[in-house]
Amino acid sequence: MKKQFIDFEVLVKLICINIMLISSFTLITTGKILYLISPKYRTLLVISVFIMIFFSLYLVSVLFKDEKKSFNILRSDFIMITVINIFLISVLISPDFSNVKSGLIKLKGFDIERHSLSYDELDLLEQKLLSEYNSMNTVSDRGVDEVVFTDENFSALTDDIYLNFQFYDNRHVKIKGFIYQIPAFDGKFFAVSRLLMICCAADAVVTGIPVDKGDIDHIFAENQWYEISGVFQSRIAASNGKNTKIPVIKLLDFKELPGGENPFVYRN
Amino acid sequence: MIETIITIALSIFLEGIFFLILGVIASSIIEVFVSEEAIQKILPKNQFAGIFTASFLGLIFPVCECAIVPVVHKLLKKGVPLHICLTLLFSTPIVNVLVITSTYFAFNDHLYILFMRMAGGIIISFLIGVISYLTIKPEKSIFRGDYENVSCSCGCASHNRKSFGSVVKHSVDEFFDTGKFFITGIIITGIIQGLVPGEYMASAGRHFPISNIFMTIYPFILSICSNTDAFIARAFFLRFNISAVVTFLVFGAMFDIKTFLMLKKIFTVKFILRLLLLVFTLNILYSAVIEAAAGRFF
Repeated sequence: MKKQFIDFEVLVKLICINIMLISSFTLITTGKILYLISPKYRTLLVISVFIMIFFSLYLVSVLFKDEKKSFNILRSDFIMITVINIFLISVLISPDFSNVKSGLIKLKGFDIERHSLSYDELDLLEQKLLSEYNSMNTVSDRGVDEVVFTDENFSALTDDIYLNFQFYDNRHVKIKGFIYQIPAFDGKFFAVSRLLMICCAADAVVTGIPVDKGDIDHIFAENQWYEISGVFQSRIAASNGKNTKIPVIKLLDFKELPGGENPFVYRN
Repeated sequence: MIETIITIALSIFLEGIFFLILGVIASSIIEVFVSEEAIQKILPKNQFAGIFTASFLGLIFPVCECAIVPVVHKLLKKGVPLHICLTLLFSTPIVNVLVITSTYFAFNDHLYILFMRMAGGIIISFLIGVISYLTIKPEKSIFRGDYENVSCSCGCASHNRKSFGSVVKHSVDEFFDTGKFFITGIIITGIIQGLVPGEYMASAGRHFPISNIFMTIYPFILSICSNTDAFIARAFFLRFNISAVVTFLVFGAMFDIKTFLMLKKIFTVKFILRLLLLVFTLNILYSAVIEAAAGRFF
């Protein structure tokens, strides 16, 4: 039988692609993929997994050579692929992704400016865009007595509250999320927040509604999960040197939650 | 902190892997089955019509910036004018269906970014073609003396066998060739996003032209394939002004270290540097126009 030799370059590539496959498969089957990418990319990732399986089978077919091939360990390609493998191995043993919210919160600013524009400041172009947005996203919660935030309606509801507050003023609300201490508005308010993911975790931003705790004597620790009940009210607050009208939740009741939930909500 | 960096890097990787794979497969199919003669037949004889057509040719032949270099080399050898080849070189990596699709996915809630990217790719490549037609004489001094063999990224000199097997081989090799730059790019992006607080980045990222110049240097170094760079640009969207993000998407697809090294096999370094300066200048001018318009409408 003719002697066969292993092509080490192909072997390294085979290991690399299989690590990618195992990582992707694990993330998809455990559901942790939703901490990383928006659900709309899940199908594309599954297709990618199948194509990578095909690539892997091809590499197996060319793994053995009739002639011994010289292999220089210092070749840049090999070094690069090794770095890639190290990165991917670190992914496989990475801790629970749901726990990264504290890091992301400190890096992403609460998108205050967009939300605190008063109606007088909106020019005709933006009002046109807003009316188009409202016609596309009919929010069914406007007429109900108590507005309840869910994972599914969190993003659209938050936007609608800022843009059409007249429908929500003085209504009761129940919302669940993690505490974020808003740096703007002289630190008067904190927010019950989620991380809004457009495409992936890298572009996630903190989103939520400011809460006015009034005389309630409780320290709301950042990143701690709460379910709060309250009433929608408006406040005049200073942001970047100008007074703007913002919607807030006047706190009536709260319940501390154990946490560990998915902090992300997704823009459809 | 490491957790955050890995989360950011991995999220961009998982988001973009499909488009990376799609890009290498499409590029491989074209490399194996589409001859340079076919491309030559499509190009009109009239110089300006040829430049205009070359600006849009990527819509039919969706290849990335590294795969187009060997194609351009072969077209030059077959006598296609330099200015048309240069237009093709800089338009095809941007104005193609796969890049349009990946950019749409990354910026589906801000589609004007997609339109600006495509418009920039068409306008700048057209201008490069016109300027090079009017000012550059294709003398021997701009070509390397030994540019006989410029191979495609898989390292094979030619694809004599038009077969599915050749497509698979080319796809796998190009997957790793372009994939390593993509993964390096997302790791660096993850480190930047993980270490630099948002307010610092925002304070620098919203000042023209500093932010725009940074967003030409950054993609030049990262050398990421144009099929996947939209996802990295997305990660900076809230911290940089619109013109800087568009600069990243347009300049990054046109010129990077990888492109520079591949062009070195065809042209002299002096000529490539002149080309780089031209591409850089046109991109900054285009971003200045966007900056002026954005100040009015956004």
